[in-house]
Amino acid sequence: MTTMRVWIVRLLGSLGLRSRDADVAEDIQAHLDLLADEFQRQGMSAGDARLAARRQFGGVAAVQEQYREQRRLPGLDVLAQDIRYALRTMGRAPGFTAIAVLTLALGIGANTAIFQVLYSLVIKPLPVRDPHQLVDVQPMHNGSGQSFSYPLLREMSARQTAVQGIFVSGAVTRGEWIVDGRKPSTAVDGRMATGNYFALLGTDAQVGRVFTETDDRPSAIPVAVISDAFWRREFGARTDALGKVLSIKNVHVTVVGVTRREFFGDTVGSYPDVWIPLSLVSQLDPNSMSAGTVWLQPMARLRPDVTLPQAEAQLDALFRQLRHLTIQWKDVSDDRLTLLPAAHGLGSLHEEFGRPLWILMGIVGMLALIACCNLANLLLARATARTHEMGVRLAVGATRDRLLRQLLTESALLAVIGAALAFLLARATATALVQLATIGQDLKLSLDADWRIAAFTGSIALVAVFVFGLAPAVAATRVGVSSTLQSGRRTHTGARSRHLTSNAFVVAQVMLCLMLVAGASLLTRSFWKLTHQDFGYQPERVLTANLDFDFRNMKPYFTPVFRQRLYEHVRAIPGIRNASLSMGGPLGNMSDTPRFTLPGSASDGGYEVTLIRVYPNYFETMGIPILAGRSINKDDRKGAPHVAVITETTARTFFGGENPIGRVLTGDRQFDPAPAIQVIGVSPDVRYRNPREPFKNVVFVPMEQVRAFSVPEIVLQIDGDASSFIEPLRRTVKDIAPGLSIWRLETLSETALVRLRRERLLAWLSAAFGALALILASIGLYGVVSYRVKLRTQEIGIRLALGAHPQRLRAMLLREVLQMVGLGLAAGVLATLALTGLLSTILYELSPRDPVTLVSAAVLLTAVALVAGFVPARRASRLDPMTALRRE
Amino acid sequence: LKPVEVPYGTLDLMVLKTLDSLGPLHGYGIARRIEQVSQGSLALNQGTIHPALLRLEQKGWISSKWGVSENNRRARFYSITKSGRKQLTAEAENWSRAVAVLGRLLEDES
Repeated sequence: MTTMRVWIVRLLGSLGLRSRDADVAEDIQAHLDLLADEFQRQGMSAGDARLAARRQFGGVAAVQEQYREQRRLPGLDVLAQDIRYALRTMGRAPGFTAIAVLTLALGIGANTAIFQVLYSLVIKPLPVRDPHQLVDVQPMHNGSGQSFSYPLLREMSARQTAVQGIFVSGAVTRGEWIVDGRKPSTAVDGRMATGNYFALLGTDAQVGRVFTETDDRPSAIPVAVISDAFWRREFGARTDALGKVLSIKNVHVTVVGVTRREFFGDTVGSYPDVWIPLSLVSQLDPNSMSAGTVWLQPMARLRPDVTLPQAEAQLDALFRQLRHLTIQWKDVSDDRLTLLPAAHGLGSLHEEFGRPLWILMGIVGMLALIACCNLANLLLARATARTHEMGVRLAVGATRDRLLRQLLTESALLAVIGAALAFLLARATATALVQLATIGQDLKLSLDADWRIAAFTGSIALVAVFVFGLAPAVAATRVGVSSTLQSGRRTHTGARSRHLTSNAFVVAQVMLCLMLVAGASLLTRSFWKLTHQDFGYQPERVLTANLDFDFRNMKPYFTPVFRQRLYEHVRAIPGIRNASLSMGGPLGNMSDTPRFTLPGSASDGGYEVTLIRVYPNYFETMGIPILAGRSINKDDRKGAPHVAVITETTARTFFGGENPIGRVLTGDRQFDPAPAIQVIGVSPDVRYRNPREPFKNVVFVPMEQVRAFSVPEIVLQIDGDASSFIEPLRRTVKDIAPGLSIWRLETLSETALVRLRRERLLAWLSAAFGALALILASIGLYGVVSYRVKLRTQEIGIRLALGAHPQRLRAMLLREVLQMVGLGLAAGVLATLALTGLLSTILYELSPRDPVTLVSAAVLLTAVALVAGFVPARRASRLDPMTALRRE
Repeated sequence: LKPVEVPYGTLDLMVLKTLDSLGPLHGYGIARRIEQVSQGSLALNQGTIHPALLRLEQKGWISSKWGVSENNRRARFYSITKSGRKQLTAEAENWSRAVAVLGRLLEDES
């Protein structure tokens, strides 16, 4: 305790918060005077008394000094002195300082920004109690996760004992919310959640209470829990928000509580505003209660005494008994229930961006190393320029340790300024980064710069300083006193080791740079290939509009009559080249995947197909050519013979190499009793969901020959600017279908881009970082070469005076550059080959060891290096020999 | 008899004891008192009192405030604190014990 107290007091003293120098002097003076008075009383003269008092007291200055030292933390005085000196030195070389700080800021800033996104998106678990007990409850069907129907969830929840509980939240179907009698300031994201939702997720309310099982009974008074953000936005964070009424459609709920500030529900990237009990679904959306609607993605909290595999086995057994409660799974036997660890909550962001962000982290890590090499070289060059100064300081008695400390302080100061700038830079760019990453999704993410981010930035800066500031500092202080003083700049003793060090930094830089450029080139080329592949249709010319409907008023929009009207009206929009309707078309959000068989084969045989329901003119509008047979036209209506156009992959799957035209396929449930469908045409393969997946078995059928499951999408073929068609389309929809609204309107290329956002993020950022790496490396090379030239001014002058040809002189200097670059490239190629394998799952139709990429990256780097080296080399060869020689 | 140096670590104890028995004093007063008690057998550079006072104050064992000395000068007056008193008791006991041990040892030798 006492020790700590002393340190705190001394720390305060160091900071000057308890400055007492004058006080001390006065107190000592008082002491001396009292002593002198005493001597005078004993009979001395005033002068003698003063002298005697001084003798008796001892050295006043020594006492004061001891006093001062004791008041502060040891060493802090020296540090302050070093910092003052460093600031002066930096001020004297503003160019150097600016480049050094900027290099550091960019290097560290990129790291901080990526780390910030990585941390919030991937690393950070849900801010709830024991997130590691949470699991995602998922029925797996053919290897992909499925959702639950309401009846199945209720039954399983009620009967299971394997976990602490199963809970879920599902979106409130789109509709207008009324908040306390007025329109809310922005659209409200509402969720319906089970009564055990908050308790099991492990969070409570900051104001009021969260709702519980009792609130989730059909007879309960309807309540709502609101988020912190919603509370601030709509109620100004006033506690009288409790008791206020929110309404959606015909349901009125009373606010009973506000969640904790950091709570955002169960999915990273979404911030629901309002949670209401799931039992209200019976009033809001009775459709969702049917056994045929699968929409719930439940989670569970494991019991401490039951392991995940045990819980999974027990729940799976129960699932098999109750599966019939979801219509679609009645007759499928290979489904299993799986539990996946969900400490990070639901949602695919964690999975989708985990790998890309770690890759980016690696990339920016290398960028930081390049920046550090630059810095080290700059410091080394400075150190050499200061040889004379160091010599003088050693000569007048400074110890080497003291000088080292001084130099390290200088680099530490650079690092602190650089890190501060980096932090600001990262703050500014991280949000933009997230937007770039998650295009196509209204994603909210809290990017609070918490202590972890600051600690991360700080530790990189620290490593940068000590790893890269130490070598130059050691080199700088390794000078012989007499030699430096005698001959000023002329000697180069010690310069040799310094050259070796700076060569090593350049080689490392070139190596890292090659890796970055090669990686960036792989990622951008892969992205280009993905976006410029043959989609089977013309994505840039096709505009699709998805329509949204209200279940209470959907009947009129599910009829053939309406579809026919819609078809005619959209075809009449002026300026379009073609128009049609589809249901479950490519890159959409809905898909229908029945099982088709060849007649006569076993009943459990056949293959899953992706069914697209189309209107006449669909193929023409999409730009899908018909390779054989005919396309679907207006005569393929209800009652006419069942027909289908299939893709090449489908044809191969079902008929091998045989001609499919005229052959017959049998469908399952939608076609009950399964009718025979005749193949009338073959189209090329089309990209269906994700442009990088293998082709699916796609089957196009006339829309009116199959039961509809939704409202159709509008498909337009356009020329030029898509935005000019938005208004006419909106008006058309409004005129003929006032109950419908357009909720997504974009070209298929735009949709494809959303599907490829992960690849896009990697391509863009790696390209940007690759370019930055090139710039940094060329600055580094330029700096090293021009600095060498400066050191060798005299030598060059002599060579020129003796008749050396300027051209050969340039060649000599450039040869040195090329040697370093060559070495760096060789190391870089090896390192690249060793590391790019990590990209193999990301790359599309491109080998991670693609030779073209490596060679072009090496050529690019050599070219950049030559340019960076050429400028100072030319300057050297143009020196006037006389001026060069006179420069002493 | 030649005056002895102040044994290491005892000055603090002397200061504490002085303040404990005489109440608030300025630096000179403390030095004076210690000299009086030692009756010339202690060589004390009065100046060394001041760093000792700072040390004790930093440890929280004494406190100080400005006052006016008998010759009308502004001087700092030091007084012992509660924890200082506790420290004094403990230290004094330690010293008596150490001195007793040392005494017995030295007697055996002679």
